[in-house]
Amino acid sequence: MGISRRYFLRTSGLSLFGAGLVPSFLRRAAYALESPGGRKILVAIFQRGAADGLNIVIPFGEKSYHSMRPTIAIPEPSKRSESAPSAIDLDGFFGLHPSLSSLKPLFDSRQLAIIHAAGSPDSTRSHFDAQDYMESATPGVKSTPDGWLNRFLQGTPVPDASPFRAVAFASSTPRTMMGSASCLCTQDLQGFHLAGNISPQTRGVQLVETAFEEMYASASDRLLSSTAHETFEAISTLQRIQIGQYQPANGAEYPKGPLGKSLQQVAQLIKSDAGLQVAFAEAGGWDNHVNEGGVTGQLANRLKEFGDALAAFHKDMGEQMADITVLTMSEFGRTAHENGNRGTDHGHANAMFVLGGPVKGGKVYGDWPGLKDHQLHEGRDLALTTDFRDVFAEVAVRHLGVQDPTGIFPGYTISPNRFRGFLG
Amino acid sequence: MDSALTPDLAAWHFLSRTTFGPRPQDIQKAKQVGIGGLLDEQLHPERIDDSEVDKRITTLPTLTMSPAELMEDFPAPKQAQKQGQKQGKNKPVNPPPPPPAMPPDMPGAGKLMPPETAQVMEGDGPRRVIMELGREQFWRAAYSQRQLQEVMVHFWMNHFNIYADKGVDKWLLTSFEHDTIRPNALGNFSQLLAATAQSPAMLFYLDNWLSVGPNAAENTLPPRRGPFGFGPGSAAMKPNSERRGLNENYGRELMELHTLGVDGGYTQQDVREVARCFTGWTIDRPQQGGGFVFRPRMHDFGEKAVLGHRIGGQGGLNDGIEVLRILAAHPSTAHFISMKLCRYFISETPPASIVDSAAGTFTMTQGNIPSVLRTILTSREFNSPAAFRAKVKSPFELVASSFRALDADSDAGAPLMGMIMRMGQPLFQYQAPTGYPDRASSWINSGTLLARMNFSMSLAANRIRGTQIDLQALTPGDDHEAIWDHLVQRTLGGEVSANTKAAVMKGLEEVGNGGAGKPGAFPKTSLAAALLLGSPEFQRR
Repeated sequence: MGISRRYFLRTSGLSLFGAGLVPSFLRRAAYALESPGGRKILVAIFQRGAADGLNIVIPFGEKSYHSMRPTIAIPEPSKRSESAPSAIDLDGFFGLHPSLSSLKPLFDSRQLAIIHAAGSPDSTRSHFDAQDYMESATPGVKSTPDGWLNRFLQGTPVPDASPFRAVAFASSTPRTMMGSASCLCTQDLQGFHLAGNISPQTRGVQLVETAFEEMYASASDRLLSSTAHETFEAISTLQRIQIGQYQPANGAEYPKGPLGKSLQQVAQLIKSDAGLQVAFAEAGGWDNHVNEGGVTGQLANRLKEFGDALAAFHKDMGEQMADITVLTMSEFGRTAHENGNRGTDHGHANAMFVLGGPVKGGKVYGDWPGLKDHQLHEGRDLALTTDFRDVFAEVAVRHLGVQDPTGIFPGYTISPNRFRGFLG
Repeated sequence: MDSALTPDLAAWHFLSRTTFGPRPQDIQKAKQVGIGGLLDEQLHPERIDDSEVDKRITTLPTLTMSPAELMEDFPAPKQAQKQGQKQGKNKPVNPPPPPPAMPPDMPGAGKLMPPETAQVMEGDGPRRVIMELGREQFWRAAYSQRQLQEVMVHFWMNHFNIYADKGVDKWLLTSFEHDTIRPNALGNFSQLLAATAQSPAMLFYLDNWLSVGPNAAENTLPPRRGPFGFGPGSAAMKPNSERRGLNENYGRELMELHTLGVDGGYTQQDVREVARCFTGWTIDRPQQGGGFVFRPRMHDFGEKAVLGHRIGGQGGLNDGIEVLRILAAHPSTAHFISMKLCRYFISETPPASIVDSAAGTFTMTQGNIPSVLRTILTSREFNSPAAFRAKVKSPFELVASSFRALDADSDAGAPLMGMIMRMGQPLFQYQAPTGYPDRASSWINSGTLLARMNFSMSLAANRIRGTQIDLQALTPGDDHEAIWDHLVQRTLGGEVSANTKAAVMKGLEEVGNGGAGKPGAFPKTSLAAALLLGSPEFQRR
């Protein structure tokens, strides 16, 4: 901590004005300089539609795995050949889907951990309910007004927080981020400007922006005035960092598609020091009731994009990954047996990924419940051995530094004894 | 607090709450018949001719179709594919990868779709059904003469919120709006409540159709084929062990959200007992758009105790009806509904005095909605400076009021609806049964405020596909004061801060110097209208 806030303000020539008049972006910069180490960042990724954890992290060591999935099973690693890819061996029992080959080096370098047989204790098989429960982190309770990450933000207020402290890449604020703490929601930061479908060259467009800025700055309406301040600050930050012109570092190449695009923008925000603490992104297309495919096919295509997006983000962030954790989740897993349409139906427990510098990776965490008939949940699905709230809580406590996670997980007692230990 | 609004402001205030935004002709009418006259008229929508908007709506074919017809004609992509396979066509060995759209029971469906895709989807899939219902709602909000009824339809649709993308609800919502909410929006609360309780849309949304008493015949007698009236459909429809149990969702939300309120004095035991009462309230052939049916085989015929009342033993269907009667007459319900109405019509924190008065009317009239509204809308608390512009408009209200202020016309298609979505209110897409929170802080954040300003600019500059304003008709001349006067009357009833005026006048000055009127320039009227619609004042009603 070489530079004090006071020094920073003095050398910026702003101390004359007193703290109340210092522009907030400078005040924030001053705080940033004071805090030891970097700000810890969480990137949460929701795989909407119930990803098939059993074909993503394959328990090839289970005898029954192949017979349960006659047309969609992924061959075990020993069956690998030039022409026929197989599961990528992780630990002699579990293997990654071959489309996730770009994640294997991250597992090997111990930056990627997997928690298998994790999920919600509520046994609903409705996408709607299960997503709701996971995002609110209150399984079985529908009326929880806000999302778990918003409660994290509420519980750790930051004075003069950056408008980019919490960003969701979605068309409308996802349940996870809903609540009273401010969250910027956008699909495309490039679109975050004032234009109104009008060519920026049109005479008068810039006038409108200036006029709005003046109008709101002096408005007596405090809610609108302070929010507009954030809005215009965000617009000017994005102009400053030239969001449209980004060259990923280290030769990283993001795959086409929404997840790659979202993660690239997350990377850009982090690198430009915009104050990002929590980011949320989505990846859809996992609900494969029909023709799921095995080594190739629908799931394989989705996984290729998914794995390549995570790997590109990791590569792009380079050393900054030391402060970043990426957490993936999906509302439930899929049936252990394939169905009559070469797909799988709605199931129960699933696999979650945790990626980043702080992660103790290279390991598949969790107790494996087995796939024998009597070991399955309700006789059909992978049983649950890790409550997703214990995974979220471990991230909140050990990565984001939450002292008391009670408020984030209402109605649930968090105990570090149940943490799987993939962090800290 | 005790001071009242001036007559002009009172009229503006009254219209900004009981309509989707005052139009110049509404202000004229208020001057002729007075606020009392407007209220009397609006509380009897059946006496108001609304043929103009009705005619517009006949262009939307899905609105007159039954759920069964909608399911048949607008199947989900997945079902369409399956049906094709049954008929022996479309049987690819390696089917192409799925479109970016997600299957129908997927909450994110539509969310991750780029707008272009959403538009393509509108043509044939169930999204068309929901889009047309949204168009109807918007057109009625913007153009109906029965404004208070529309405001109340809007209010009750949110109070009894249903998420369109949950399973079959996308085909049931049209009927829910037309047959359940609309006829009762200005009726009696207990009838409205009963209608929602027996609506297939609500039975499905809150899972009551699946709820089976632990000792019901369904669970104790040998299973019959197709106990729930559906065949081997999608996975969501397959019976499983969970479906044979008591499902408490409806029982809980009925008390917490529809009637008593979370602090209304019920216990978890009451939730369970209410759920038992409603076992057997289900849907006849949900996959074919069937209606409400009571199935005795699913019902728990044991005795129940709800909020201190004994219900049963052999009540059957009447158990649920008795619960609805108890809840509708409960003092907590009178208070909870009155509170929500006061929050909607007066402010987020309405004085306790008016909530109590409204609750008194509710109890005295046994839930007569027009009487409760009359109490609220004629109160001192309503007609007070503290209530003036106390409410932030929802995105839907913002767009509708902009339309009414500038006399805009629109096909209410995907470009306009997409803007409402980006402002944070995708129609029928709120997942939780709570409905959209009626709070300024939940509507306004940096992204949605930007989206509001962008909408204002787009509308004022005629840059929304399918939507037009007549700039010529809105332009009284080239004089800045004249442009200002005309537009500030239309948009804000002339009541505006000095800041806002200064910013608009400065903008007009600068655009004038820069050569307004030349090709490619932003017309002065567009500039002033954009700034007024995007102003802090116009975000409130």
